[in-house]
Parts: sequence; structure tokens; C-alpha cells
Amino acid sequence: MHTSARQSLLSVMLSAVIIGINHLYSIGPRAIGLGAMLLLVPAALLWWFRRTQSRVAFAGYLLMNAWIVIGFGLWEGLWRITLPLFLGTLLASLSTTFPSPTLGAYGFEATGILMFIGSLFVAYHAFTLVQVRRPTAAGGRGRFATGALLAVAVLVAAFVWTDQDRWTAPANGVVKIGVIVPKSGPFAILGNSFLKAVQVARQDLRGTKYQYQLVMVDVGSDPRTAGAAIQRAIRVDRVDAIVGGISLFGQVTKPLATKARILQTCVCSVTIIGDGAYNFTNIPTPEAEGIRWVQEARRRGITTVAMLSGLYPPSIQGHVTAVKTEAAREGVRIVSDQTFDTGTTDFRAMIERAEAGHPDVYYVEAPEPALDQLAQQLSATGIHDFTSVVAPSLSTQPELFEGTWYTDSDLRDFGFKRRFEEMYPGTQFATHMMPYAYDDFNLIVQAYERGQNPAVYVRNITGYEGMAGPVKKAPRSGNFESMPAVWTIKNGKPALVH
Amino acid sequence: MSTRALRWTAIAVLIGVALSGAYLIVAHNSPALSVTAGATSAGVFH
Repeated sequence: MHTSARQSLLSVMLSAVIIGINHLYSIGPRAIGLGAMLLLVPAALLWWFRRTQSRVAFAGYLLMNAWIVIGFGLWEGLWRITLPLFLGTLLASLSTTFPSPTLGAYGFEATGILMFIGSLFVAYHAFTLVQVRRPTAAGGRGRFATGALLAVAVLVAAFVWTDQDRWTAPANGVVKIGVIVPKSGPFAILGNSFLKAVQVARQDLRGTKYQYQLVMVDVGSDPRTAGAAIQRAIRVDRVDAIVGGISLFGQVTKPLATKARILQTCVCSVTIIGDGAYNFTNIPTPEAEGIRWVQEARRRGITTVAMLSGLYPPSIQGHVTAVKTEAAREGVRIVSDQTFDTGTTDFRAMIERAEAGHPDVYYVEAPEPALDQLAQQLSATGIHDFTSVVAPSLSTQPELFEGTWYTDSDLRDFGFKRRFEEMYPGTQFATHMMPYAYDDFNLIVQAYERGQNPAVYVRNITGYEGMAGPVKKAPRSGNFESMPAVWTIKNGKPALVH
Repeated sequence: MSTRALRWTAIAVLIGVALSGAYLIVAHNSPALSVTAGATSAGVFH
């Protein structure tokens, strides 16, 4: 009894330490309390039992063991960490009907495996302890091994069955598609334009097998509070798939869509949102914008550039960094590189410094109202040769950018823009996201019309001809890739150059 | 080598293989951050 009890307590204490470390990744410092409880309570119960032979103490000790084995070892260690890591990865490599698992940091995964292994020792020593106390109990090591193997085999089979994404026909023939964009706050122009582009796409559907219902999810302007609205759409409205825009909110949606195992197509430039399992991004990357911008600059004989850019939103600096990287590779010199914060209204000193470098062109990118103020002050100084990535199409005074060239999403079918403007006069058509919003909605429709699970359908796509021209996706990638086009402002409106 | 030592060696090797395999899978699956993905981690224009 003495040896069995010591070995049992040792395995429990080692497992408690591993459980504590593993939970530091998920619940933070509270994991120390959990680990301490798992260390101290079984030790106290066993001490009590050995002093008094109390049945209550022994039952309590065995219950703690059961919690460690079932709750932490089998459920968390095996089911939620070890099986997705090894079996999930293997299955995803064999068939696209299985999603690539979402993995945590190595420390989390490694301690998850150790939690499972530790729980086997806990179970074995608890079994031995029971046998020592009740020698008449049937079985031995062989019985334990058979039971453990059977339990693991059942869990493995259950994992293979539940991990696969299968087609289910929509309830009552209605497919609910959540449209997740902000309709208020600083992103309202893009959000409203995005929503209307999806509405045009829905309006354009002809003779479909199922009905497609849009569920608007206004996520406001703060990503910290957006999660609740997205959760409600998934749990209460029971959306079948999500089309989203704006990376800030795509990042919030990603874990929720993964947990609910529903497809999110996101018009997001943050490529890490696209995991190739349930989340896919679809818009030119900042790198693609940078490459296209420098190609055009070289075609126009530009060799020197002065850059004036806002520090917020961060996507602007994403473009700036990509343009600078590509410019350096292609021998286009940046003679001045100045940034400013949101509150800046007087750009004259900056313009003066930029002028000193005698650039061929001025690269400007900023949110409103800074963008228009900067354009006004440049024009007032007699500077009209400025350029950008995306920004002029979002200007509230595009006439300030007359003749300016910039890169932005391609638009193959101008009929889409015409229909949009006819249906929603007064709503700005923000070219950057709209073709992709239209395509993303149609990807979901195509999946349902073909009777395929939408996530599996999108995993299988390697390219398509869309509203923004040819779009490609590498196998298993979560990022659709496309090349932006060159635009100019002509008669106060965006016009495609090539 | 005794049976007990052999058993513990086998267990240690199995744990080592599992942890090494996990390391390889996690390293392979880490998102490849593009040049600007970090900078646009709160992308707002899109």
C-alpha cells in the first residue's frame, strides 16, 4: 500500500505541475491556483486516508484522480490537443474535407501531450492502489491496458468521425449569410459600401436552388465589443457562413468562425487571418500593391519619391512599407519619408522638407480628413504630381486628386459599379473592397448550389475569374491572391488606367 | 538491461518522439508573416 500510494501521489503531483503550466497559456496566472489545488488537495486527502482509513478520503482522492484523467488527460490533453495536432494534421493532409487544426504555441501543445501521458500514469497508479486496497478486485495490468487502449481507440474513432466537414442542406432551403462590417464610426463608408455590394450580388442571383438571406451584423467601431455581436449572429441567428470586411474585425471573427466550424471569407489584407481551414482572405496584399505601384512608377520614368503618410490606420504603413521595399529592389529612390499622426492639420513644414529632395512624385496616403487637407496644401504650394495606393478612391473630395494615379483593386465588370450606383445613389463605391465582397458572396452561393460544404468548397478552389479579374490560391492556403490595377481620378471620379 | 529499465527507456523514447513530432508540426504550421502583415495587424482600409 505504501509504495502504491507514493507512486500514485507522485504521478498526480507531476501531472498537476504539467496541467498548471499548460493552463498558463489559456487562463494566465490563475493557472497557478489550479496547479496548486491539484497538488495540495489529493495530497491532503491521501494523508487523511492513510491516517484514518476514511472511505470518504479515499473516494475523494479517487475523484481527484478521475478529474485529472478524464477532464485534463483525455478531454483536454488527448481530445483537444494531441488528436488535433497529430491526427488532425494527418487527416487534413489526406483530404480537404478535414480542416487544418488550429495550433497553439509549442509549449501549449507539448504540455498538452504530457497532460495526456501523465494522466495515463495517474490512471494506472490509481488502478493499482484500488487493487492493493481490494485484492479481490478482478484483473491486473492486462485488464488496465485493455481498458486504456479501448478508451483511446474509441476517442480516435470519434475524432475521425467528428473532425470531417460534411454537407448539410440548409434548413427550410434558406441559407443565412452573416455580413460582418462596421456600419458606424470611422469605417462607416467602407462598411456601408461593402454591405451594399453584397446586396447587389444577392440581387444579381438568378434561378438558384436555395434562398439566400443576408444577416447584417453591425460590429460598431470597436473590435473589443465586436465579438458579442458576431457571437449572437452565430448562436442566435445561426448564420451558415460569413462574409466580412476590415481586418480589424476579421481577426475577431476568425476564432469564432473556427469554433463554430463555419466559413468566413474576409476582404482583409492581414494575411494571417486566412488559415485555409475556415477563414480565407481575398484582396490584394500590401506586397502586391507595392509591386504594382513601383511597376507603374518605373513605366512613368519616376526615379525619386517623397513620401507623406499617416501613422493611422496601420494599413497605411503596411502599404508604405511594401512600396519602400519594392522601390529599394527596383532602384526607385525615396528622397523624403515623413509620417504624421491623426491630429495633424498643418502640413506646410513637411511639404517644404519634402520639396527639398526634388522628388519626381509625392506619395500621399492618409485617412480623412487629413488626406484632403494634405492634397489641398500640396496644391496650394503648386504641387500637383502626387500619387498613392487606394486612398484617393476614399477621398470625400476626389476632385482634389484630379489627374492623380494610384493603385487599387481591379474592376473587370463596370456594370457592377453602374448597378451599385443605380441601386444606391449617394453611397460611395469604394473600389478597393467591393469586387471581392461581390465574389466572396458568390463563392458561398456556388458551394450551396453544388451541394458542397462551403468551407470544403473554398479549400478546394485554386483560382477563379472574378469581378476583380483572375484570382489565385495556392493549395491549402487561406489567402486568395490578385493583382491590383492602376487608376486615376478623371473628372472627379476614379477611372481605370490599366 | 532489466525489463524495468527497458520499459522506462521505451517510454522516454516515445515521449521524445511525440514532443519532437509536435515541434515539427507547430513550426511548419506557424503563419508565415509577410513583410507587412505585422504592420497591418489592425488593417482598417480593408
